[in-house]
Amino acid sequence: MTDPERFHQAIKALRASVDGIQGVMIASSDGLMLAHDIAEEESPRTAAMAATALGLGRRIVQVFEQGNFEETLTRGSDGYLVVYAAGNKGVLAVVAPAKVNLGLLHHEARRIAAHIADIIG
Amino acid sequence: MNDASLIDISGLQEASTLARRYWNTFERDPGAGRAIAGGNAVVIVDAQALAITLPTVLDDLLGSAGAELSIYGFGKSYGLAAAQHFGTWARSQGASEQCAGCGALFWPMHIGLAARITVLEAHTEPHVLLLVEITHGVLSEVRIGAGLDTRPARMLVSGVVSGALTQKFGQPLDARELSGDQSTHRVVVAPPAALAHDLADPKLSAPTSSFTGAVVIEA
Repeated sequence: MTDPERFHQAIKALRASVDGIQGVMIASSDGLMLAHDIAEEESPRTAAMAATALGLGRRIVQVFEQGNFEETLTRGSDGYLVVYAAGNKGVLAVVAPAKVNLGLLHHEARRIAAHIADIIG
Repeated sequence: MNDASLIDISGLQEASTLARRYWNTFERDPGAGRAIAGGNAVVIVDAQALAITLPTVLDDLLGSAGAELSIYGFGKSYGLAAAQHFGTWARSQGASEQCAGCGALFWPMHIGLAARITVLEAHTEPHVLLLVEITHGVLSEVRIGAGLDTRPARMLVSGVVSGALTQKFGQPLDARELSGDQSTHRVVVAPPAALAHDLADPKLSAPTSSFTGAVVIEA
């Protein structure tokens, strides 16, 4: 199985585990899109924003001496964008509605992010 | 496989001449606080500020990934805007469409961002892909002189080139660095959805001398 196929399998696994997910993006930490199931025209910008959120999160964690960056969550009135580090080289971004089971999302997405980190190497 | 028609040589020669003419229109009017080129307002930025101060501030604020993406995004926006502006100006001068579309590829040399751009590979099938080697300019020199990595300078120039090519081909294209050293770096320019796959293609990492029909863009 190729890496892109494994990325898409990881996206399907996350969607199957958590109801209501609206979009998933896997990108490299420098903003290169690796796989996604969001609108095509939005995907390059989402990859860049996810990588920037990751970089900014890492900087904040560093400045406030809170260990290693793990994830950042942005909450709007209608839902969330959650960005998870996938090792040092990858990022997993998930768009979910306000009603999502956030605890379950974190549990499953962290597991998937670790799997993505293994694929990226 | 190279598709020479992608970067038309005669259009390039015409564009080179016209780009030189464009930059000969450059005028400063310090009394009015203005600098103008081709009827368009421009701003002169100190190389040190662009090479060191800006990346440092962005890195401090956003972290390295955010800083690099911001610099790349600025370069790409600039490349797009320059290509649109040059195209409009070139058409007003009676230039061909080929020439109007290629002129912004000469911008990095005219504004001091790069010494040379070499298109090693270009094809349209299964999608537009260009393999471009960029010979560094003054921003890299400034960073090397300060003992710093040249990556922010490379990101900026990669962005400018991808912006110019996006305008030329009329479709979203992005650029990512494949390899680089202190004097040159090689970037792959392709649609965003195909870029990760293209970067992994070992053929694109072949030595420069193995590419036939390379197109050299020099001012």
